[in-house]
Amino acid sequence: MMRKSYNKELKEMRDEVIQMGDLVLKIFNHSSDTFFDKEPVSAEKLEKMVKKLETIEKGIEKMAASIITLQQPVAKDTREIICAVRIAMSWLKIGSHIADIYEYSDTCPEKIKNNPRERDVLKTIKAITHEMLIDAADAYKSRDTDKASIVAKKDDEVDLIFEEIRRDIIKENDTTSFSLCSLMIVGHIERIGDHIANICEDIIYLERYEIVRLN
Amino acid sequence: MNATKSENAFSFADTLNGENEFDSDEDDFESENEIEFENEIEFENETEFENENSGEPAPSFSTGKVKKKIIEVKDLDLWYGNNHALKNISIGIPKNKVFAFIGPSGCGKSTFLRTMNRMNDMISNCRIEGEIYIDNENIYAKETDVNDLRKRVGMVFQKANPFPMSIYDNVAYGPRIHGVSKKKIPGIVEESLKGAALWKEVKDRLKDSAFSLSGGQQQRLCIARTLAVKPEIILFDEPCSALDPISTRKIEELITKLKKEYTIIIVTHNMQQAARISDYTAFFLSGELVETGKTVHIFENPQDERTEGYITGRFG
Repeated sequence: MMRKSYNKELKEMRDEVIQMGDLVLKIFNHSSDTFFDKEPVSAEKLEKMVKKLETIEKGIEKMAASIITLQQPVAKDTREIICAVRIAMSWLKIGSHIADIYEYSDTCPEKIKNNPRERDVLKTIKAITHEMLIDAADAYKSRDTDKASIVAKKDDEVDLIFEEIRRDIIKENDTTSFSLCSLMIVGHIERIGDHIANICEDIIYLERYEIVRLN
Repeated sequence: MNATKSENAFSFADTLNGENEFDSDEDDFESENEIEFENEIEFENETEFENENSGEPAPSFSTGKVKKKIIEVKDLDLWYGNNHALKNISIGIPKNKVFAFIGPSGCGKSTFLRTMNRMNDMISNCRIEGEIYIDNENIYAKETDVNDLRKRVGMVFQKANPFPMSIYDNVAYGPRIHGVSKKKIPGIVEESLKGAALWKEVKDRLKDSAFSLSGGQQQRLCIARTLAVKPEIILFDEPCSALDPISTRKIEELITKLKKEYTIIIVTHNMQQAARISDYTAFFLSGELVETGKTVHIFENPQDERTEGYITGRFG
């Protein structure tokens, strides 16, 4: 009977982490739709979603503390808890970066419209990150370590784009060639890529008991 | 040389070890008490086992890589009548380490513990095959002096079992019987009580009856009694199962200290206790040694799903 409730608690915690991933995807979609002027979402709605993300993350922390104290988990169960807390924290940070990007949607789009290169770069990096988010959430759900490794590799593409932009600006010493606004956005996306790679590392640790650095 | 049941089964050393009467309720006789697992994996020969996580060898018999193995068990089988209670056990026990045996009731862990000082010899229908070496001597060889063996391999039981005499006499009993001179005995008593972390509590009441001590103190007195005959190895059979958390903590701290001078083997049902105090752990199931390795690896990443099922409390 005790183990039934223990299993239930672990499953609830896993489900909460999955819910965070789904919510982050929603926030990402809303934020990018607003940015590219497709279907603007109000700041209040986005803020509410980020708050919900914070609430779930705090809940996962509490559940983890309770399970550790009362059930004294060992073996894979311990990793399950450690990774739930770590992945929840990564989802929260990703959500926070997306919320920061959203704040640029008031000022940036006009400038970007006038600069096709910026628009293309932002669309490309957005598409890569969007795919990474979907696949990372899916890899956690399905416990697919191969998928996690592939997703983390995509972070290199994001890093490359960020590096190219930064290098160009330094080389040209010309801040007008690529707006500061876009640079900030790409900077946030670069950090999102890092957090996704961290999630993938956690999935591999959880399933294979291997500490890997994919980032 | 294969072991044969000793004719000279019960002896003074049994009394010294505190085994005053055979406990017929011993878990290991419950042959029907087996637990079924889902997706049970066939147990592979443990002698080749190496812990994949650490790259370090588990202390098994054949690897020969673990230094200072004081006990080597090779191909040990034990039967109680027709009940095959231990099946082809091979393992090495490193010197000056705490080795925990875990497993469900009836899995054979206590039976295995008892083979190390031939306590099973006292059971009429018990038959043993295989070899156990302590310091390269086969303890089941015909020439083995069982009394001497049990002096070298002390044992502490689940229930504290002090003799009906004073605290002092309980500890002095062993050395006296072994002919230690009277002059040396007070020193041995003090040293043993200090070794068992009991001296400060009893130094002013050494003539009091041992029964005046609390349960935890009585258990430490039994440990002092074991230390007094200067064993090399101490076997603990669930030493804390009847104790409160404070006494349990004291015994656990004591075991951790004792390993500097002695090799400790402990049977415990308390997973946390095994994790806290042991350096190595072996998991037994239905008479088989399923998995053995460093305790941290057994509890963090067991290789066999039966081990994981047991330590996480999930059986099929």
